[in-house]
Order: sequence, then structure tokens, then C-alpha cells
Amino acid sequence: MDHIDGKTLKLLFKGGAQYLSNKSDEVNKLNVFPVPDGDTGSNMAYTLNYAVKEMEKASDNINDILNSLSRGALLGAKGNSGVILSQIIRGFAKSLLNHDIITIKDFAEALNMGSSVAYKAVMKPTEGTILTVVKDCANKALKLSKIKDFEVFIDGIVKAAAESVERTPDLLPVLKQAGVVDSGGKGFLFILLGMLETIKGHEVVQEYTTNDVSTNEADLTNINFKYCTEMLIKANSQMSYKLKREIESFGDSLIVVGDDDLIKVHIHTNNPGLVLQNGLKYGDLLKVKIDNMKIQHENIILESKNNLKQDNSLPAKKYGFLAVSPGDGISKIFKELGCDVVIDGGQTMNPSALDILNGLEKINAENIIVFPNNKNIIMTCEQAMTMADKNIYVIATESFNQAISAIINIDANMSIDDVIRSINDTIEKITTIEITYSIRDSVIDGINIKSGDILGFVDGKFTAIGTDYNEVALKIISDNISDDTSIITIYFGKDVSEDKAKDLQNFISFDGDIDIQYGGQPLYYYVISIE
Amino acid sequence: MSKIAIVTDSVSDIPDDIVKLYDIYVVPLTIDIDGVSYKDGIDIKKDDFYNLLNSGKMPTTSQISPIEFMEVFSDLLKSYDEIICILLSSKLSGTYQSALLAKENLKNSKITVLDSKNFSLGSGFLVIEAAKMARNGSTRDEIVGKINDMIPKISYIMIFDSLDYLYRGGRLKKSQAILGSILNIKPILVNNDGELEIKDKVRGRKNAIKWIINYMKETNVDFKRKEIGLLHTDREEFMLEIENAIRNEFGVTNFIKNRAGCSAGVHAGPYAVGVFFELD
Repeated sequence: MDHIDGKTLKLLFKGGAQYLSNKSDEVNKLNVFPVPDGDTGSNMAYTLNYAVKEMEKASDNINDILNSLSRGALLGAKGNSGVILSQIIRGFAKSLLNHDIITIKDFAEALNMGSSVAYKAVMKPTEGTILTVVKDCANKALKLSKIKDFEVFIDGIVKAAAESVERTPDLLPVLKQAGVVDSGGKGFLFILLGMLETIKGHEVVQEYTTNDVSTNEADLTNINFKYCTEMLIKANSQMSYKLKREIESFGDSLIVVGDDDLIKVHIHTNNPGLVLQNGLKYGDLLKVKIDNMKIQHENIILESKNNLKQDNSLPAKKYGFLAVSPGDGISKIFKELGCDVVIDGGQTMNPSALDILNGLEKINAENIIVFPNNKNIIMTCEQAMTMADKNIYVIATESFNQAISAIINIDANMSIDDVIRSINDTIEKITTIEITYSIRDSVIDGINIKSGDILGFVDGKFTAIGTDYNEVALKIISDNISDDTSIITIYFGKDVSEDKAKDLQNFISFDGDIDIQYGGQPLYYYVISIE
Repeated sequence: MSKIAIVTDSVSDIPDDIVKLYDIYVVPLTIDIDGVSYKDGIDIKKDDFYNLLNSGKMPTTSQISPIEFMEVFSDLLKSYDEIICILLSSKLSGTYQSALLAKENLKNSKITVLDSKNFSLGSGFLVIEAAKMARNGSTRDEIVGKINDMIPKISYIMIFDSLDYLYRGGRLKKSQAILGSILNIKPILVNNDGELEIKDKVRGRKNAIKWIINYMKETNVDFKRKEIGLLHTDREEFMLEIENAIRNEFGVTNFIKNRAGCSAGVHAGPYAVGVFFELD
């Protein structure tokens, strides 16, 4: 076969998407820090599945396919890797427009165009990432463009991708240090592997039913595990590590915390029964809570659909705000501060460009200021910005506390330039401390880290390790306050009690105000703002 | 030499010793709590008032009536030749109007009523100056001239804990009350021609103190030889922190400090502080 038609093009993307979906967990695990934030695989799979779902609505006409694929990818893009993937697809599609058939040479040139569009979309392209892998593939593809058989051609690209992925740790030291290859590059390799299987005539089948994110609306989430299961066990807290080991393979978002003679367990699983059985081995169950997150999510989708229209009953205000929030407490604060739209999202729960776009459409303001509040959501917001026909300013906030302080300092009488300046001034003066835990044994900066250890980060940089989150938080806070510090705000997460947060407050020696707020964020015991 | 009585309302928050020293006559506003009326500082003392305020009660104030002023004025004119009455801003209370009405009804040219365009210690500054001048034998015209000259120069900074009390008292439009007490956000209010203007907002005590110092610096006034008024509604330690900062920054040694009376307390709510000073 020396060329492909629209039908085959569809099959290739479908196969690639399915293969990536099957392997998304494997990709998720390739995160540099052993903290529970790996979501590259889920994000890329979501993005590609969304594109494929849109593509399947199209006819077999190549232009139809490419347009719907490209637009679907741009809208479905989640996380930085999803945004980059959507840009690759956009470039790929652009290059192939107005072709009746796609030859090997066309395909190679399209891949090359995908690579250059993706490079241009990233402000500071980093080598050793998906960008390098796609570039290496494109170069190889151009060299192979005289080949007469698509199967041999794609096989050659796959080999180049695999080699390129293996080289990523040589190009990006953080990968080498963590002993992983780049997750986005690996995800891209899986897409190509799915295409190879397809061109060989093998259907890529779905491996886990719960992992499917492509078939219907309600499944358009990256919920791999349906039941949010929580239990409180009256048991020796020393046993919490053992219990954690036993149940960690049952699902994700696992948190096991021991406190005196209690063990608190939180897990997303498809087998709540097994989790409870294991808990029972250690003691009486004091409290059990099981929620079906898919049903919750469907409700969210329905609600958001009913509520999509911009409110034009009032004249446009000067400034509108959209903020991404990782917890219910934080959402409440944003709303009280006058944010027009608050979108749920954070680590491992990135919103898509479409989610952001829908939010933007609702706001009736002359200028809309967007706070992504997560490194991995900034590009998604920027992508949504380019798709909305409004004056939008995306502020590259990496944590929600930056946005909260920035909004407080805004004076609605200021000009937009002054508002942006004020926001940037505020953000610059904030030190952000995050306290989370390790999900696997690892080594960072020469320090041995065990699964379950408490890790502390200052402005994204790993700084402290310990076994008690209050102790780690106290140490980092003490190290980061100075005479210039005017206020400390402690946002405690959903797995921390207010009493525990007050204990921390009482131990901090500081002559200014220490403000405690319920943030409700998952995975992070505390996010602390020092200003 | 004509004998001049200096009259003000209980919102002026002049410390008791100064009131006694200069024979200042203070007319109380009425405080209503749960349907019971109290004369500010007479039927209800500060301790009891703040206990009620801290327990979550939302008291209200009523302006001084014309009749009350007529009684006070008539009484004073028995032993004084002249009356100078300095009252809180006419934009904050109808008390000034009541005093004018009382004067008209008495048809007595010996009564002068002045709108301080200020409140609390801001009016207090004017009243104290008038009382000092009266004691030193100044004439009515001299005193009124001096006070009118001072009125636009008296400035204040109020740091509130919440705008709820001000809003409930009808001193603020709802749109301005939007910043509640979340996140330790403190509204900062300044005097705008007799009205309270929300100037800014800050988080936490330290930022509030920085704001006060900056604002005072920008006036380019040499505060060293000036008297600074400090007020609190049951937040003495915060007021003392501010005092220290002003002392250190400007070398001020002369402070008039007071815990706000019930009238100012009703509108500021608990945990507010204020700084009062005269510009050049």
C-alpha cells in the first residue's frame, strides 16, 4: 500500500487513540517527582479521544476528517502535553488539506509540519520532551518518504520514536535523575504504535472498560476508577503503611493516614468491596462512604450544559475573572472575591481547552482575566484564549494562592495595563509552599525518598522531606519568613482537619497575622502563601 | 471677656480627662440595643457596650434631637455668654441639622453650630482646640475662624475589620460592602469631605500598618511636633502596634488615645482602629 484514503486515515487515528488509552496509566507513572500528580497519559488520551470522537462524526472526505480532527484536538486539549499534541495534529492536518489521497511523502511532510507547528506553539521549547520525539520522527519520516509501503514506513517511524524516547533522559537531566523517560514522548510513541497495529490490519481493542474515554459524553472524563471510597478504621495507626501497600493496586488517588488509633483511607477504585475487606482485617470500620464519581460527573456535565449562556441582562463590566480551582474551599473563596467563573481543576484533574472556552463564553466583560493556577493548565488556557473572540489575558499563575492575592489587590478603577502590572507585582512577592506525599521510592537531589514520605516544595522546588506533614510544613515556613513577611495564609486540604491546621498555626513563630482557610484541595495537605 | 461654652456630641471620643480639664460639654447620642435605648456613655458604659457588640448584637444609633439641643443650649446660656457647638459630619448624621434647628428655634445669635465634616477624634481635635482657645480668652470669631481653617486639614485613616456594621447603619452603599470579612481583608477608609470613602483594602495587621505609614509619608507633613489621635474599638494591642510604628517612623511623641465610644463603635464594629492627624 503506497497511499491511504480517508477511511484508513480515520482508522489510523482511532487505533492510535485506543492504544494510547490502553497505556495511559503507564504514561501517567512517568512523572519526574514521585508525587501524585502524574496525568500526562490521561491528558493525552483525553485529547486524542476527543479529536477522534469529533472525527468520527465527519464523512470520509479527507478535508472533513482533518478539520474535525484538528478542531476536536484543540478543544479537547488537556494539560501541556495535550496542548502540544493538539498542535501537532493541527499542523499535520493543515499540511494535508485538499489532498484526495495521502501518499507516504504527504504523510512525512504532514508530520514535519506537525512538528514545526508544535515547536512554534511552545514559548520555550525544551528538548528531551514530546517535541524532540516528534521532530525525530518527522526527520526519519522525510528520509523514508521514498519507501513504497505504508506499513514499512510507519514501522520505521515507530523505531525512530522509540529510540528518541530512550534518548530523552540524555537531553533532560531531570528525567535522568528521576530514572524515567519523558512521559509525553512515550505517549506519542504509543499513538504511533497504535497506528502501526492498525496498518498491519490488527484492530486495537480496548483493554479496560473503565479506561475508555471515547464512546459517549458521560465517559468524556479521565475517571478510570468509578467509586470514591473512604473509610475510617479503629486500628493501630502504625499499620497504615501495611494497609496502604495492600490496597494501592486497587485504584488511584490513594491516601492512607494514621492518627493515634485511627486509620483514614481514601481511594478511587472499581472495587470498593475489596478495599473495605482489607480494612476490616485491621479493626472496626467506624465510617464508610462510597460515591459513584461518574454519576457525580454526569451531573456536573448536565449542570454546565444548562448554564452555558453569557449573561447579557447587565451591561458588560470592565473586568471579568475566570479561575481554575483545585478544591471546594478555594472555589468558595474565588466566588466571594467576585470571580465570574470558577472551573474545577488541578493536579490530575486538568480541565480541557473546551471547559475553559465554555467558561469564557459565559463572561460578559470588556476584559477577561484568566488564572490557570497550575503549571499544566496554563497552555490549555492560552489555547482557549486563541479560540474565543474576546479580550482575554491569561496570567501564568502556578498555584491558586497567587490568584487569590492578586484579585484582592486589584482595583476595578485601574486601567487594564495597571491591573496586569498589579497582578504581576503581587505574584512576584508571594512564596508558595506545597506539602504533599511521595507515591513511590525515588531519589531527588541525591536524597532517598520512600513511598509515603511527606515532601515539601517551595515555589515548585523540592526542599524538605519528613514523615509528619505538620513538621515538614513548620520547618519550611520557618525557613521562609523574614522581617518583610506581612501575612501567612495556610490553605488546608481535604485530608487535613482544621484542628491539625490550627496546631500548625500555633507552632509558627511570627508577629503578623496567620490566616487559616479551608482549601479542600486533594493530594496537597497544605498550600501555604507567604507574602 | 465673654464666657464661651464648647459643646460637642458623644461621637467625638475625647478622653474623659480632657473633657473635664477644659469643661467641654458632651451631648450623648442614643444607642438602641434590642429595643432598649441608652444615652451613650451615661446609661451604658463602654465595657458593657463592647460585651454586647462582641456577643454579636447589632446596635443602632439615633441622632440627637432638636429638643435635646434646645434644652442643653438654654441651660448653658444661663451661665455662659456664647456657645460654640462642633458636631460630627452632617453627611454621617442628622445631629448637625438638629443643632441648627435648635438654634433657629431659640432665635439666639450667641449660638454657633459648626459641621466638623469629620467624626470621632477628628471632631475631637477641633473641639479640644476650640476649648483651649476659649480658656485662653479668644473671642468667638477667633475660635470659629481657626476651627473653619482646621476643618479641611483634619484627616483620618480607619482600618475596619468588616464593613458589615457600616453597611447596616446605612453609611455605605451595598456595592461597596462587597468585601466581607473573608481572608482577613481589611477595608481602609479615609475622609472625603465629611464622608467615609473606601480607599483601599489590605490583608492582615502588618500590611495595614505599612499602608498607614505610607499614606502619612505621602502627605509630606512633618508629624514630629504634631499630635496624633489613635482610636480603637476593643483592639488596643493593634492600636499600640500602630502607635509604635508611627513613633518610630516620624518621631511623634504626642498621642491622644481612646477606646471609641458606643456611637463610633456601632458603625465601625469591633476590632477597628483609626489614626487621626492634622495636615499642614
